[in-house]
Amino acid sequence: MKEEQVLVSNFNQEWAKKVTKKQFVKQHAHLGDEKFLENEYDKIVPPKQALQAELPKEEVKKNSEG
Amino acid sequence: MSILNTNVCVTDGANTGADNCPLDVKLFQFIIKVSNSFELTDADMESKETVMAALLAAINADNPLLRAYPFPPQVTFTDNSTDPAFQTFGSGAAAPANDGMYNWMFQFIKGGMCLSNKLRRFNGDTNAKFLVIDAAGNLYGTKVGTSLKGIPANYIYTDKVKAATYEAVAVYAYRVDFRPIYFNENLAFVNLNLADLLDLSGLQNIVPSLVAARAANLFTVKLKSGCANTDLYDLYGAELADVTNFQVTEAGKVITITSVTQVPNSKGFLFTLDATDPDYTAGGPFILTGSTVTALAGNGVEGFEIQTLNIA
Repeated sequence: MKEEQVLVSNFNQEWAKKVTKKQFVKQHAHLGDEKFLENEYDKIVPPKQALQAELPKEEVKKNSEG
Repeated sequence: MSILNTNVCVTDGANTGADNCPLDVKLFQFIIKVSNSFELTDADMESKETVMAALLAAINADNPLLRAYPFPPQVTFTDNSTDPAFQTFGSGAAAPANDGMYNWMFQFIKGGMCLSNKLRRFNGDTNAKFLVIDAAGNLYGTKVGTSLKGIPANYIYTDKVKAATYEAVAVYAYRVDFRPIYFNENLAFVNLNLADLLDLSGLQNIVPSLVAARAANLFTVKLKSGCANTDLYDLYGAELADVTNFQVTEAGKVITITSVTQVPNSKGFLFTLDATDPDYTAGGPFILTGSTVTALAGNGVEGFEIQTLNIA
């Protein structure tokens, strides 16, 4: 059990939106387990947006077209 | 038309009929030190509410140089102003030589030694301006055009503390010294609610201190109020644990803070810096400071300013 009391508002939202879920989890590994951190990331960056951000530009274009 | 040899008569006189409800200056309560550029414009003085809003905005200004600083209210007011000086001639006739200077002293107890020392940090300011408030809720400044501006002081000086005796408590006092012209011919005033004015309070400091030595990109600090040393964790824990309240720099460059979390055991705040930030180096040192007074207030911590902490 970690002693830190972690809320989604504790994270730098702007920074989180620029990094991948993997980077987010790695950066904050000291604050909780992987599952917990993944959930926190999903609250800041909804999965759909995260997917778009991680896809290569061409795929994003293809996805948005249809 | 030329003004050659044209004497300008300065004693143009005035009608002396008295109004039924004249301004009567009451006992002065306290001063507000303002910046050189402080100004209450026509729009600011549309109503009591707009004046109070302008004063509050000045008190909470992000830039300390533009900020207004309310001084504590007096428990004893002493007028040490010099009387006008008159020269007496050989014939016995006398003529006014100078108007003298205003010198008002405000003894206070609120804030005690800690606040006294804070006020003493303004002692070297030779370009200070102030507003003064009386017991009727009149806020006085000096009139420039249609605006109310700060009264230029020769000095605003806070005395060293005078020791307590068996009969009297320690004396904390500040004084203002200024030319009569600003409070007489060029007087500007607005009538406000005295209770609202007495409720104005300067910002309090939040002083960060390290709980333990920094471990790479992680460090934990405690946040306490400046004078009373009150731990702010229980009062503002959730509000303070927000990255937008803080700024960390290394060699003058801003380092991204990726999270600030509460640590219940130590009542501290754990900071995580972005170790991949191109300006970050593991060696440090880092400087932690508050972002802005406005950001802090926006996060629910009103009336405070976070001070600086060096982190090796």
